[in-house]
Amino acid sequence: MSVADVIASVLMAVGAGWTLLGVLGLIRFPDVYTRLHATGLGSTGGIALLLVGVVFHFATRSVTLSVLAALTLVFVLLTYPLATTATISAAHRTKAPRVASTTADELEEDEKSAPEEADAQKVCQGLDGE
Amino acid sequence: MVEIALNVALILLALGLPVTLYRLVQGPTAADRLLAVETAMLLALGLIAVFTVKFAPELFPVVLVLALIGVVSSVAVSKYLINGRPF
Repeated sequence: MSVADVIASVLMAVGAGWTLLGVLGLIRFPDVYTRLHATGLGSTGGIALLLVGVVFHFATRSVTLSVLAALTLVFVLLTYPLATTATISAAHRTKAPRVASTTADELEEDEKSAPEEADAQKVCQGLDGE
Repeated sequence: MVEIALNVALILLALGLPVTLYRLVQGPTAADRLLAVETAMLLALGLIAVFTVKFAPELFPVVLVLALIGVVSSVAVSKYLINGRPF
């Protein structure tokens, strides 16, 4: 029982619990934007913690696998926020209903205050449609 | 101690999958269902990571591949919802 094993055990258990807490947001929150906030931040962070634990676990056993685990961590942190951003964009574009206590929609304000960008977007969509 | 932590992690991650299934069946909008599938993929990544650490460490590169290509489907469906075309 080395120090790395203790750190790995704690990080893996805490990361899995953190992920579960983020996933529970899927049934606890009222609309799609708040659910995206819970899982997009909570679950991705929990899996990242778990992978840090895996890095520590492999550190004393196999350096190759430890480096692979670190690479996996980097790719998870790079790609999953991209998917979350794309999903939020899709929800906003398909006008998903939002909870009544919502107070601000900065994306819509941005699109209203910069009409030339919106025009450019329309032109692009027109080109796409051909 | 590592064994106990691995078992706890497996149980906690597996408990999350029925929740995503509920949101996938129930979810009122398409974005809800997309989010449920995305979260299920993330949980599967964590489950496979813990599983390979516990039973077959030489299979860990599977998790690396899953981290690389796991979001392609989510981004494709998002772009379909935005533009009406996948790419």
